[in-house]
Amino acid sequence: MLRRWSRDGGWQSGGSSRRGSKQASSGAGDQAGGKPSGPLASSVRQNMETFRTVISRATDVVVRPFLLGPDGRVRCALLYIDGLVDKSLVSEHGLKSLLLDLYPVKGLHGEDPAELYDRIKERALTISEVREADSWEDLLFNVLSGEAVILVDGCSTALVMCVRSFNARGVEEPQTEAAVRGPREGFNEVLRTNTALIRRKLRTPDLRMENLTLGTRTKTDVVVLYVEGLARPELVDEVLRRLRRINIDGVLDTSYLEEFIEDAPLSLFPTVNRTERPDKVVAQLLEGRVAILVDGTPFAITVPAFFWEFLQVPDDYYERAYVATFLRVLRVLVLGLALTLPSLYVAVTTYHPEMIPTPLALSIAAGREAVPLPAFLEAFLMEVAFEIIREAGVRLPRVVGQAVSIVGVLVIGQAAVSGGVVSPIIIIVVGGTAIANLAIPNVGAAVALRLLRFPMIFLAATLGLFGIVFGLVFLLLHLASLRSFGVPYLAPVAPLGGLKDVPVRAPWWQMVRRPRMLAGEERLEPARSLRAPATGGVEEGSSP
Amino acid sequence: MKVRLGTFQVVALLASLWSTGIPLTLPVVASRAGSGAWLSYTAGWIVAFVVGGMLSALHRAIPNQDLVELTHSLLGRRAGALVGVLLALYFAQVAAIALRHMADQWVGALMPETPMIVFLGLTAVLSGYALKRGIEVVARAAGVLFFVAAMGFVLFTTLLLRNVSLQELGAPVGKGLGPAMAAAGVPIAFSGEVVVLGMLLPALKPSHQLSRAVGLGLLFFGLGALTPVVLSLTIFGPAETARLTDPVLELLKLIEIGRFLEHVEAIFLGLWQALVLVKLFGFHYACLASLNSVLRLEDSTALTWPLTVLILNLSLWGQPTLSQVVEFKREVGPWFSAAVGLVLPLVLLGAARKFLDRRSGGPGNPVPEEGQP
Repeated sequence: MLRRWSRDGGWQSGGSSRRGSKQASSGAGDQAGGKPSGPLASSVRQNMETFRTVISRATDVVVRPFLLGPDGRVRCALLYIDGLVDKSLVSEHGLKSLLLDLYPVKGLHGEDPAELYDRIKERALTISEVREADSWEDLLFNVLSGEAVILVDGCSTALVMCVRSFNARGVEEPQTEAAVRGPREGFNEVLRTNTALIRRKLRTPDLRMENLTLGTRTKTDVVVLYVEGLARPELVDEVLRRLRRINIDGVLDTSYLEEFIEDAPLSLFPTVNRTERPDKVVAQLLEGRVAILVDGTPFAITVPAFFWEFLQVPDDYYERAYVATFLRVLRVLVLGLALTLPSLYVAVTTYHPEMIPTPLALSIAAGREAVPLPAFLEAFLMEVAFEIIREAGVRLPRVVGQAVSIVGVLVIGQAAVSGGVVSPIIIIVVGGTAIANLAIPNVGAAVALRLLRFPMIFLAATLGLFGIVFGLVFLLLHLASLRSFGVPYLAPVAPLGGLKDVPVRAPWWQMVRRPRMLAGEERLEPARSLRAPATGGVEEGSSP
Repeated sequence: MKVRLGTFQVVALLASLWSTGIPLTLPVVASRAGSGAWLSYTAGWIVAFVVGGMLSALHRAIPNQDLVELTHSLLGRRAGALVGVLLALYFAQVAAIALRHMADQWVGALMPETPMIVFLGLTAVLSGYALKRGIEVVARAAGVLFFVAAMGFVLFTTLLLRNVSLQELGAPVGKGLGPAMAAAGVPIAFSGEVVVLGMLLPALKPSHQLSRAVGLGLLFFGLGALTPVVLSLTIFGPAETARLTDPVLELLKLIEIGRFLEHVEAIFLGLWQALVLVKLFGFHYACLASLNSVLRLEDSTALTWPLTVLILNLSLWGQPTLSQVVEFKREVGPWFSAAVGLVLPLVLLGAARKFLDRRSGGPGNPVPEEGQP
């Protein structure tokens, strides 16, 4: 941008004075409720005072004044937050360059502040990324985000040195999505690391990253990623539109955004995907979806989401198709068990005992003989007890948590059976249900099923198998009515549309189309349709 | 936004139509046609194809209109209103019978101490809730339910095959072709239920896809209908089948897995109910659509709950006992179904042909463009 210095000491751009010292003074005085707004003043002293007033009683704020120019006539200041910047970078490539290495360079002796400003920006600072801030909002945002800012007397524009650095976890294996095969890296809490992990796997110039700042106080960086040409433009627009209308004090995790952007935020079932895995995000971007990353959390969200995805894991794509298909079908079965096993126990023992094979019925009857509770209460109490044990185990340190689980399950369970409080069969039922629930890969879906088990038990206790059928159909209707960013939640099963990835996993060379609901029919990936030849290039018997 | 139904969803709806028809009508047909009952049902199946074909032809000729709107356009406003009310009554009647049959099975077979109103009420609420969410949701749920029921049906057939005895069947045509065709009135009556498709026409694409969907749906409809008929005739024999109140329920009671799991009829009944629910949702929607076409309401869902109460009352008081339901199916059903399932589409097809000929300047000329007549 063309900028020149005016006689009254302010920057001019395009022929009109942008900020002279007078305007700047008045700008700095536009403080509403303690927050300055408008342009910076051209006086460093005034800017420093304003800054100290705004960020008062903050021991981590560093304001370092220094002098440049002939005989130190030009007053400058360095502002940053201790702990958020890389101090070595600030010292080596900022202060040292200015005060020692480049001090003798011609120009830093000049009296013209505009010239001095340009020299600092273009020759003195050896930081790779230097920006400018020309308003108080901009300056404060940069300082609080972890950048270092240099103010030069006589200039109402500040130089921003991008030296953001803070302690963070390294790239580790995801805690909630462990995989047997495939990449082991997971996101961490640093947004830029996370975008880099995606960029490293997706080296296409079509990858787009749109930056947003959300949270009126936290000013959290949010990045929306998509691949141009694959993601439908209306989907991208809708995601951005929903994000931009969010008005909240703080955004500390992607879950804060979920409730604002979901189509059905009151539903138990999540209509966005959460993941810690960069490979999963990249795979979904390649399907035409949109990903959202938030600074400070290792969890990304991708939209739209389908219900069946909650029964899929990245391993499915790294294993052979048969193995993946078997495991997916198994997970569907597990889903049914996790939801209905306790309620089936209640319904069968209460209303339909004739369904139980005679030897088993006798065994169950013997086990329940001394139990004072009806089957419904027995199942209900055991489910509640299991939830308590689980919650206690999760919140405690890992070693103690395991001990609590062992005490809860083995000791109390055994004692309860021996004491005739519950029957042995209910321990098997609740234990089997818990294992089935743990086999569901998606935490959000697993939690939904845990909660739904209670109304299902109640329905079974009042209406037997009819109650279970009623509950399941009601649930089906609810799921059928859900949409995720306009896409039916139960797709591609209902409505039917491409079953090569649900519930089976077809071989890669058969999956020649992207999901129809996301990218439309015509989007093909011809390279994938090439099946490997049955024989190699060398004919049998021929010599190499 | 215009709602469009997929091929599979149409197939699911059509294939589920036999779910209440067979258990209720098989004893009547078997008593008249003996082991030739399967011939009677085959005749009904052919009629179903005829009805489906007529509706497809109507949709190709004048797309994006349901039967009531077509009547209104082709035969005038009064005829449209009359047909709308008639169809609404018919659909409500069929929905009520489906509801009643479902509740009867639960009470009769599994939970005799629970009042029937509980089953009727809850199922009606479920149907109302489905309709309130819209036809798209109903269609999606129908697709999943049909898939589940189809798996159950395959298992049901497989597990019963070991009980089949061809000696029980006796002569394949039973009492002869004449009695079989005379008894075909009842199967033809429930084949007329295919007319429900007429209320979904605006949600269907007027292309070969519709013909394929109707063809496939009716293929499954026929296979689904004939399988329990043949199983009952070959397992119980025609005489015993004629004496039973609900032969399908009796077949379910025979299922056992490896002499270990016995009396699993409750599970199969649950799967069976999936089909009945699809049918119930379809007819409930058709009833709502008929009334809406007559009243031309801006928000048709306002009628959902009043209509649900009406269907619930019909199911409870319309036929107080199951034998009266069967009586209705035997005596009134054929005429009612024939009127709305055969005569109405035939008349509309004729009127549409005449209208198109008049518009294009002569018979056989193509229609210049799709749209409202």
